[in-house]
Amino acid sequence: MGAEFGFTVQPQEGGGDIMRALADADAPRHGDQSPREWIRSNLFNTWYNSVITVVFGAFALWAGYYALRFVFVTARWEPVRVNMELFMVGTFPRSELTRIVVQMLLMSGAAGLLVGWSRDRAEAQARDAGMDFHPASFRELLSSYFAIALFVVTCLIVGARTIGPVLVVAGCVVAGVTGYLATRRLRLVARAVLLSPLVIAGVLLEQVGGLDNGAAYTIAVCACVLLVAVNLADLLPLTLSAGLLAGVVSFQALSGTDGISWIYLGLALFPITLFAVGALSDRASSWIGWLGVAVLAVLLVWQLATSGVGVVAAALAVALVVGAAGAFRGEPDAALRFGAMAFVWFVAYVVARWLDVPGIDWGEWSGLHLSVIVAAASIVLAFPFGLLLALARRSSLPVLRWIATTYIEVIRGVPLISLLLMGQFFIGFFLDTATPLSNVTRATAAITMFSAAYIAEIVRGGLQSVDRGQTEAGQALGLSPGRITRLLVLPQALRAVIPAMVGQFISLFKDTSLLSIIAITEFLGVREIVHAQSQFRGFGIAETLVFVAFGYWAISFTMSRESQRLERRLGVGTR
Amino acid sequence: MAESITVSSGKSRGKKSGGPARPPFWRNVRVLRVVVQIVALVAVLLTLRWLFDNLVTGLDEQGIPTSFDFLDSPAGFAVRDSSFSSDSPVRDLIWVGVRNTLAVSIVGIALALVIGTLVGVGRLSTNWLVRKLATIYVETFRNIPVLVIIIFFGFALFTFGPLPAFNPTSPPKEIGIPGTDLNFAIVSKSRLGFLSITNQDHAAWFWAIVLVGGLIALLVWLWRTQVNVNTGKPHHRVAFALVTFIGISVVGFLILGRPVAWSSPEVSDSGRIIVGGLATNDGYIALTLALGVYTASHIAEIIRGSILAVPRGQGEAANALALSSFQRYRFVVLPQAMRIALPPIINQFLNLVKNSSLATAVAFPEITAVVKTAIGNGNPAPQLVLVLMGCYLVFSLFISLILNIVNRRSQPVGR
Repeated sequence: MGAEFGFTVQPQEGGGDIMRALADADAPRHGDQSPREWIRSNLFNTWYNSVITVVFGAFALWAGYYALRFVFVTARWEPVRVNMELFMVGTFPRSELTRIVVQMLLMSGAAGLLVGWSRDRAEAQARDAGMDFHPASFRELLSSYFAIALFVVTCLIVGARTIGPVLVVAGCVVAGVTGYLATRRLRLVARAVLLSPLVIAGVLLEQVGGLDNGAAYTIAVCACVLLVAVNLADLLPLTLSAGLLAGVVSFQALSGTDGISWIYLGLALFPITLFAVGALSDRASSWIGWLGVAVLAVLLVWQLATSGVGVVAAALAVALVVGAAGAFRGEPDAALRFGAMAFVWFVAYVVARWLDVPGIDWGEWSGLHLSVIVAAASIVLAFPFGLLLALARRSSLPVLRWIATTYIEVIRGVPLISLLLMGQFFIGFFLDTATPLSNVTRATAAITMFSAAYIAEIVRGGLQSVDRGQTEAGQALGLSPGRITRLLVLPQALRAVIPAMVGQFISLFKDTSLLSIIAITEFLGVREIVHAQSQFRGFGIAETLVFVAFGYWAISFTMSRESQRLERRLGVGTR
Repeated sequence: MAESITVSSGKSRGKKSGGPARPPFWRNVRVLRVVVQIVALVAVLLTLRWLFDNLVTGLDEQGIPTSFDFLDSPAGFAVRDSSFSSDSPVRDLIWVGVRNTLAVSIVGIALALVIGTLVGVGRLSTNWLVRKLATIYVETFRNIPVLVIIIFFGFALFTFGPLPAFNPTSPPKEIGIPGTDLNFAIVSKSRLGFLSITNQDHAAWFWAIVLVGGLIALLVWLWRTQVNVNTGKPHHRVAFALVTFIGISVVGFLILGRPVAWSSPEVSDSGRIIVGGLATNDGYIALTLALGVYTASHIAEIIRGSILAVPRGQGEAANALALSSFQRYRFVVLPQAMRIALPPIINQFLNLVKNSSLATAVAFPEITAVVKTAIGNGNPAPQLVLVLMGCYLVFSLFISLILNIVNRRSQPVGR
């Protein structure tokens, strides 16, 4: 009854045996069918289905045969095999490749830390809610990650001519596992065994060329200290900070510690800083707010003395005023928080200047490496802007709403390529910088503007999905609108839109392929270089394209499967 | 004795009596709202002005003109397969680009809708093989960038496929209409040509009459629907509207004395292009196919999601009323599914129009490619990019307008 179109009767909660019997009568019993029965019911159940099965079956066999023949027999994979390094890292200076190795190892360690962190957090939340905690099974993970594993294995098989790439991949796996295990609470002996390879790796890093040795050793020692601290302290904010810091430092291994790297370093330490501040302000009396004010005042004076009036000085002044007003009223929270943030940023600035590791300019990054970094960087940079735009679009002030709506609708109405062209030709003029910005920086700025509008729409959808009763309850409790948004609405809204954000990241990663049109060599653009080589001119065009398509497909498919898994786990869409 | 309580606020003492106490202006919400808005507006305007000034200064330093006069000067480049040469003003060539974009978008949308619906319904089929093949299709094309698909179709057209090539030594296949001199179509790997209509004398009047006929047919449609609603008689509105439209068009045709004629596609003397009829080039075919196939994968997902989003009880109620499965789909499931699916599908149309900007990969002269060539030929870049963004904004605003109308019309009455 309706089973052929998938309508079945669902047993209601406490519906009794009649409903259950009806449901059982309708539900397909998978284990009960013999292969013959299965074929009959799924492929040949009506006459037109039988015809369709025969026709499509023949087509599928033919297409499959030709595809396999292409991949294994007739295709000439030399362009891909010879140029695998080009595809992966493009024209990055080969003497500095160790930086990329360090970056990959640190990122894997950070990913392991963050996986452990999210698992601990999910476990804590389940415990608080009184529910059971189900970690992901190996089979579930395999079904998500088989695509990327296949791609990595294919690249190694096709392109690795020395043991080096295999060692790097193995090292990444080990680093990820180490990071994950650091969040497990193991016995002392196990911890010692776990962390000893890190010390060895730290010594080995000292031999890394191209990185200032002091910096390499410092990075390794700091990584060990972080992992030990994470393992001993059993604090979720510390794990999060450690993961973020490892990720940021891996980035700095490439781009050096000059410029604005101190901003990211400071940001990475925020979770543990704010946690410590929160713990402190709970226990101390309200005069501690004046400590924060004092810190802000000292930093403001120092900033004015060293670099005069500027954005940083203005921000410090605003923070000082707000903090002082709060401390005056007897609420130390704002002053303490701003003071701690400013102090952490100051420490990060000093450390970055002291380390003084030179970097490789953005313009020299290319290949698949650049695609991933541009996508990640633009989403991270665009997220605050998108959030502000979404809040402005829903604001009750007409001018803010109008500004935000205009920006969002204009950016969403034009294709990304036109924004990239604008970036190429305009942004240099707009910002009137002393040194011309590199190609990649301009493109990343354009993509960030583009992402901000889409993220704003996604977050707006999330904000609309939060029940109005939440806002009203906050008002009944006497919370200010800022606090209501920050503490009640935003957490629920952002949790609801996580799958959509992952979808946006996937589509942004695919859109980085457009950089090849403006002559930036990312994963797709490497093909131009490959086919400009004399032995591959006009040779193997299909093969390189299939390889590039496979790479994009593997990464996007993995992310979309992860997002579906996340959606199921978070229960988004169910009430 | 009942006590009377009077409330007196310290602040109102000394002010005029009556009226509520007002907080000081620096924390009066009403004042703050206005002040914040003024500050925001001023900040945005100042920033825009600063950016614009930087832009003008920078352009002047480089010697690039800052006006739009270049639109009337000769282009210095030609657009392939168009009637404009390199002496035509830039304005005309941009117009050719816009026409090409529209041509790609409309055909691409039609193709995507057809393929997407088939694949989307296929994903819900009871046939396991069809389901798996549809899933493979969707999962493949959704996760590959459009540009890669466009490049693939660009060179695949020349290497694969059963159609003949198009060059002087190997002519394409011409499909003629028996009994006449005309060709219905010319098919080949790289170019297609179709029979079309050319304008002759008084053609403008004819098309005006056709437009009026269409409007009258629409009115007839609405009238017949109203008749059906009022009296319950079958409306036959399709027949009525078609008869009206065709009748008015034929009358206009006869009165004006053959204002339009057939234009048959023919292979040119050089054997390299198609003259007459509605001709396309290889870039067009590649781009349209690629965009159609890519957007179809998204539309398939939307249609699958919308059919699954129709509450299960609807299908069960249809079963209970003894409707056949076709009737169940036609009258119960699909109307509700379409209501849910239409806004995301219109959004995908907008995405298709925007994705058509990647035509530079196949050397098809739609508007982005024309603008890039114009910039490469020395025309000022900022104004051209502004023109480009303006064109796309017009498309997208138009499509958003349609989306809003569809949204409003499709909401259930009474909600």
